Amino acid sequence: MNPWVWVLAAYGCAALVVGGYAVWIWRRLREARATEEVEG
Amino acid sequence: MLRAFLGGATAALLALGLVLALWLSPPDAYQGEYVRIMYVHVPSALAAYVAAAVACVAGALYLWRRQARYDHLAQAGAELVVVFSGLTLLSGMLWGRPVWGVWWAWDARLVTTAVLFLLYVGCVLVRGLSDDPERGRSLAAVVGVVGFLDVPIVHYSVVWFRTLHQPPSIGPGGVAIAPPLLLPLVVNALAYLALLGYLLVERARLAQVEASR
Repeated sequence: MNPWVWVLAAYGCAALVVGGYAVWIWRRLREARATEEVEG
Repeated sequence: MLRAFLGGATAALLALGLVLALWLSPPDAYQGEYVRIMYVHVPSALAAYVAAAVACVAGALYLWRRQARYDHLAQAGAELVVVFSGLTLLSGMLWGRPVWGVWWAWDARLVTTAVLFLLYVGCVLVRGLSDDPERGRSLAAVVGVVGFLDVPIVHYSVVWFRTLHQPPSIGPGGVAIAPPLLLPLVVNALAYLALLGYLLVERARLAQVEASR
């Protein structure tokens, strides 16, 4: 198999794992802020 | 202000690291293009070590001082050990399959890294096991402190045991890596450390916001 398939798979995993975690944090922060605005 | 600066610096370093790793780094004399996986694998392992140190120190401070801010940092550190050690294992498997011919081997470095991952998965899960939140936080802090003991074992496993994994390329004995490969590695290591710092700040802030609701 072309070596670039393995290389791009590794970078894709990095983007998915770390990016997914960052997006999860940002969404939870946005939800918390929205709740604060409604309650406040 | 600090968050915006950290976020911008992280994005710039990651972009530079990606260009160096995928375009400007030459292929390795033996491994060819596969060496580019090193620029994900090694920085993510380094970030996992530092995250474990943060979880350990913050956990110990929480057990001593009982201040919520240390618990938030310990929680962020433990989750980031799971993220970065998980990425280390995944990228290692994607490197091992074409280079070693196997996805996994019962090798000292691989097994101790998997143990680190599982210890901090336990640290994240144990927080919610107790009905008493204070007890859950204390248990998580203890696991976070004890889990750090695995970090030197992971690092020195390639020295202490006969393993399939290569020994460290950078150490007190010198640098066993060519400069054209060293520069992308150093830039990516700095980028991942900046990313770790940014995610630690954001995750600790989320824990603080959720605790105050």
